[in-house]
Amino acid sequence: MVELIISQVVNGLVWGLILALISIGLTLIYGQLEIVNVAHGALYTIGAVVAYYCFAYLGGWAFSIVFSPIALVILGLIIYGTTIRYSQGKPPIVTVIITYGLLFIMEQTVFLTYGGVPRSIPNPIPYNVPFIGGDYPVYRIFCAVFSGLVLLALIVFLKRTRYGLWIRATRQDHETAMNMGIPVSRVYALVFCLGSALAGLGGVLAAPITSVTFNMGHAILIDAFIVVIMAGFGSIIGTVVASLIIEVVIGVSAAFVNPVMARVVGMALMVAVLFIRPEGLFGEE
Amino acid sequence: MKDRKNMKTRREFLKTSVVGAGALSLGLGFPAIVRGKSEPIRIGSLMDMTGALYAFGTWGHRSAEAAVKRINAQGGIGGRQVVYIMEDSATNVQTGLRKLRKLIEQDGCDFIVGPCNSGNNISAAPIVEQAGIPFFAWGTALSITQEKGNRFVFRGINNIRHGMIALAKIMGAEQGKRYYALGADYEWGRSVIAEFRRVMDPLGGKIMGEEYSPVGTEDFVPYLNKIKADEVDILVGGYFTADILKLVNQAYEKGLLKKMQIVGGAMPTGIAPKEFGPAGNSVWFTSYGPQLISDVPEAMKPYNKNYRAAIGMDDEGRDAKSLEEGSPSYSWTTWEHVYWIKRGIEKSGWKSKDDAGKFIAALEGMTVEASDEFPQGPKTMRGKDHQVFTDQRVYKIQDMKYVLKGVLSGKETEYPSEVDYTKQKA
Repeated sequence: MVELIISQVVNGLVWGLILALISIGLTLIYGQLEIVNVAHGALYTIGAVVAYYCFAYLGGWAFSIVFSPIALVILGLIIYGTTIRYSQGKPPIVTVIITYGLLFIMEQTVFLTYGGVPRSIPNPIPYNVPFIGGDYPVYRIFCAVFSGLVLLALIVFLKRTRYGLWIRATRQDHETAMNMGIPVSRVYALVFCLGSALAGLGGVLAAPITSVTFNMGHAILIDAFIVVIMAGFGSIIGTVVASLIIEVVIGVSAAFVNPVMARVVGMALMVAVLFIRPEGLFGEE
Repeated sequence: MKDRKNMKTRREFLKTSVVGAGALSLGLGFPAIVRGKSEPIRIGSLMDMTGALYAFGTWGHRSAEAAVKRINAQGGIGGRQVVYIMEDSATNVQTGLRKLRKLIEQDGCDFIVGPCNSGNNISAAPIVEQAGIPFFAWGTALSITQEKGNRFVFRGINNIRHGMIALAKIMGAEQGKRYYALGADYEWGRSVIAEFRRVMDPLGGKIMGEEYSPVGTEDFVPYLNKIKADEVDILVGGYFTADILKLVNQAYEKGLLKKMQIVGGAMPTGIAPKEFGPAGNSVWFTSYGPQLISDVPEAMKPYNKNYRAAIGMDDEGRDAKSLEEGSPSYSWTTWEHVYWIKRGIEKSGWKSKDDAGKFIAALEGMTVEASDEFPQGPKTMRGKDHQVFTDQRVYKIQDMKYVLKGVLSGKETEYPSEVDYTKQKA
């Protein structure tokens, strides 16, 4: 049993880091633009679809690590310029409806172009390492390390660069930031593109594990929202911590109860956190 | 004077015509039999056009629509044209029920062709019974034509029990007897596991674990971690489309499929065999229809070819234009459901909804031969449970291709019915 629990903890940490990468974009966009971006699931899907095309037509999934974020930045710019900038300042429910519409449009576009059947990408690193009496896929370890590095780079970007400073300043008080000469609308566009690129990168990493379907963003969107709500909307560190906690708790619970109950335990944890801290683990009151 | 008389007559004629047309449109003044003859027959179709069962729904819709088109081109049923009205269930029980009510109450459908989602079929059963509308279920969970069905529910496709009986006979116990069961947590997933247990346990099968996870599970590793590779010979997967692809690939990734086989019910529908990669070599599955035209017996090939041409499916079971994987295992059912309706109307002399009882009685026990109308093959609609008994295939994926491992006839997979709908009122 101890071996099983250790396996579940390790897998929870690995999957938690991938989920954190996907959820960070969601929290970043909400923290900055106060937009509840339901379309995030579709951006994740598009990232995975780009990964599939890179595998199928360029001969290697690895190309998508570069191409997918670029494609998502361009798409993010288009979405921001045509829709999101006009949604800012609207009540949250309005932003939910608008981004839900975007989700639907993007998902159906993927459906019409990519098709409706699931496709898989062969494991890019098809090796296993012996781990507590079993095997563990090296690719998952790669995903965890890669996600960790991206998250670290993001934190460094936000803390140590001029653009990072602008983002933090705009988040604190956008009017003062504007008066100080910070190009606030450019900052908003940057954050939306950054969030989109992170969602796409999440899709790239998940694609060889989960297969690629036009509606794959739905399930992950729910998980990402759970993480972001538990963390407190807008908190980056909180999002990483919450996704690790949630995935480890669900994994360890699965060692004792059935998978559905394990997810119930994860939900119960979120509810308990919100009872004690309605603003979330790292949210501001 | 003569002209004035004529004018008056024309006015009177016009008045009479308007009143007559009004009466006709209200259905007054004519006996029901005359009215019935002129009105189209309305077939409602509830399909999983979006959501997890999209691959089934789109092909089911294509098949049913093509069958209606063919019938209308040949003069309709008893001279009456057929109107086809499709609604998307979104692979969701609540949405499906709302759309079913719309088909019955707003669209006035006379018959309903149901979706592949077993949950939707089960929830539809009491509604169609109350409305008195014959319903043709497409989901393959056993209970649809057992304790959860009723006299208004028919199923023109084998179910999971047929599939598992065939799997046990064809795959046998040679692959090992120790199995671990993982299924989607809803009626169909549970039905797959229950039926596998039912056939394997008498053969000395030993269940090593049983788990059910939500539909749309992304990461199966927390559940696969519980499986000890050296203690399990067979992994039973009660999943479909993207979920089964994830399960197989993740089990392979974890090194579980070095010796272990993975089995399931009609699971790769809508997925090309190459998508499983090398993991596919461990996959066995039951199939309700021939995946490839080469798997069809010679005598039935022309029918199957004609059916595939009518719905735009190629010999490999793919969309003839896009080459996207189709649903040859399932899609023929909705085509045949439309023809079951045609046969029932013709035999019973059905004219309107009031004749539902006569229609139902006519279908009970009906046997049909292979034809353009029934391209999957001959079959009998058992009276007691309204369940069809027909050929059941078992496939294995080998070198990224579907390989037919065996076929059992309807007689060979027959099981006793635990219900008798003929005693219910219709």
